[in-house]
Amino acid sequence: MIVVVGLSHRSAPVEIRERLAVAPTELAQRVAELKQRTRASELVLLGTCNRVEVIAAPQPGGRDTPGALGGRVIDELEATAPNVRSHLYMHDERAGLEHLFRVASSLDSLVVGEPQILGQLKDAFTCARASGAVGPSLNRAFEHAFRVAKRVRSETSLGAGQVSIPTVAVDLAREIFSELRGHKVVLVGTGEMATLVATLLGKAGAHVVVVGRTLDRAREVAQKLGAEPRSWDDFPTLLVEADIVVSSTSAPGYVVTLDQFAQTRKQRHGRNLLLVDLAVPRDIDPRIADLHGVFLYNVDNLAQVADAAVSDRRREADKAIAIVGEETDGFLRRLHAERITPTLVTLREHFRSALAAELERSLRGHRTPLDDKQKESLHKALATAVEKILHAPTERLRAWAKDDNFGDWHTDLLLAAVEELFDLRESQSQEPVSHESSHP
Amino acid sequence: MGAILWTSFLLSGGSYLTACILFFTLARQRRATRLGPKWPARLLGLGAALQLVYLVLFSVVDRRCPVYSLHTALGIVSLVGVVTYVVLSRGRRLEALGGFVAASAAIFMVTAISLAGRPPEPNDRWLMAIHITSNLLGGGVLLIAGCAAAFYLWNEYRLRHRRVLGQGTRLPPLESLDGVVHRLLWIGVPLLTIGMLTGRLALRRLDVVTVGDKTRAALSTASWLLLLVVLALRQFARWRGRRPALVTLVGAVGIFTIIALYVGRALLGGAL
Repeated sequence: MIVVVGLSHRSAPVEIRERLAVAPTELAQRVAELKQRTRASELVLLGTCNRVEVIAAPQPGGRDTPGALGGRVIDELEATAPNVRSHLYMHDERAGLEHLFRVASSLDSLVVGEPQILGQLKDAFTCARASGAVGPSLNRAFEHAFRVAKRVRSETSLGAGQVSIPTVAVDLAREIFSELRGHKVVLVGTGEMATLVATLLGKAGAHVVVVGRTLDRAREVAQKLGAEPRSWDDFPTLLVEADIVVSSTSAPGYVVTLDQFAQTRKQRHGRNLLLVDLAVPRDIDPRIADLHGVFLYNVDNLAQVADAAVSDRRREADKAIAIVGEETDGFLRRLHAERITPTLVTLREHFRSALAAELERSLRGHRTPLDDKQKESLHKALATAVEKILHAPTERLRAWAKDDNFGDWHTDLLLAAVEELFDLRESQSQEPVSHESSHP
Repeated sequence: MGAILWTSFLLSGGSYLTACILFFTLARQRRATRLGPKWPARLLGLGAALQLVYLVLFSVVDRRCPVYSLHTALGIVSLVGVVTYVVLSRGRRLEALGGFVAASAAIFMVTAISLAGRPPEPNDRWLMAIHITSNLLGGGVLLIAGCAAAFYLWNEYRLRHRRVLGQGTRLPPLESLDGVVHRLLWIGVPLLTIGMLTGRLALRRLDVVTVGDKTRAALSTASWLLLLVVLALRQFARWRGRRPALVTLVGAVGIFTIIALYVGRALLGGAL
């Protein structure tokens, strides 16, 4: 079972979220650190501009519980960014799985139905797997989450209309500038979403200029976008000429400061300027928004705007929520059913070995020894008898484990009763059965 | 003749009202639909043509120059506003402004019904004809400029407070509104300047100058000065954005107040 600990746009504003933000280049290192410090068996770290979430799993069959692991993750996040505890949420067991499926299906996104989150989740999973932080529990949960997301996409129109943060940013630019042809867009940084915004603005006819800390990096991005590369030294001049500035760097502080902007104000003659800050931590000093002719939108602001534009999707969200609930139940049923497998295997082995031992003993005392063919047919007859005797109890146990009316505790009780009645605990400890490879 | 007169009047008012409804419906739609801005604009144009027919016929029946009657003068102001909008709105996503212009034109027409009396013609007919015509044309254009400036301030407020996209009426883009205000100032301010100069001359020639005349003259001078300054700053200091919009709006409100004073005086039987 898994636990999800984190904060998102629902629980924390961007000022808080940016304190836990992880740069993509540091993600693998941070996963390794968190895994070690929280003693998690498996761990995936999802860091987007709207959420930072740790999805972890304890050792299967161990004494550690998802709840206890979640508590350690909370302590670790609090140590990283003091006073974030009140903004953190924790979902374990069923709620954890359901949350993961909701996130993958974009039901928990700022813009419900936006497609980026699935890619971001896949990237986080791939990164953790490459770091060796993913085991069977998370592997199974994530693979299923991706399937749920696909089902939601295909069975609902949650993603219809192509409303996302980048499209909202472009629509917003049109609210100010009407025609984007001939307007200058300055792209600062190379974040995925910002690049997407710049691409859309470029397609609408705007002249895109890419500014990077190094000219080489700016050239690389500019080539992809068909834009003009400029060095960081040109930025003050570009700030005077720009109509739209899209920023998404991984810088820890403000890239565009109030002082820097104030110097260019006079030369702008009150021309309108749209500033789109897609970075977390933020790149643009929020005090700039108080100046005349400046329209500053950060990720939260864009999402609010987008949310209002996709009210139709809320109806579809109900359908998607039903699918997520159904899939969570299905996943848990399969998990429960698999939990009884080791006990059933041991039970069969117990019966087979007891009967085989009894057969061997009776044959040893036989006056005319049996040949191999006769022995084999006797063993086969015994195996068939075991199958027939255990068929009904096996099917019943499986049915109970899959039954929604019975909880985990009921399955545990049944397994404990079977193990106690047939004295299987000793057998299990002597012959451990692999969870993955065992088949009754 | 009377039947044609009233038919054109009613059809014109009906066209304005229908255009107004269509414009606002269009402005409230978030996505592109089959109802494009062409149809409401065409209806507005049709309304203007019918209103022109009405004004010409009314003047023929009344046997006087349309500028000497407040009834037809008010009609000219609304007609100028509508024509200005139709010409300038092409390809500019100004649907919400169109709705406001259509509604204003309809209101002006209805108000004008109660002003169909025959006031005495002025002594200095040519001077007054130039004065009133330039003021009517300039006033009509500058009222639209004031509307565009008000829409600019409204949309700017919404954008600054992030109340856009999918929330209420879709307002015209800021840059379009700013461009419209600039062009209209260029058309309206010279016309108003002619009106100002001829007005000064006419005022000097009057035997008796009432308090009402002085008030209107002071208000029109102040409005004209504001609009002249804003035009000059926009042209020479490249002044853009909220402040010029605000000053334009104040100037347009001044002009509207003068028209309202004339209408009020006529309605109250010359008491003002």
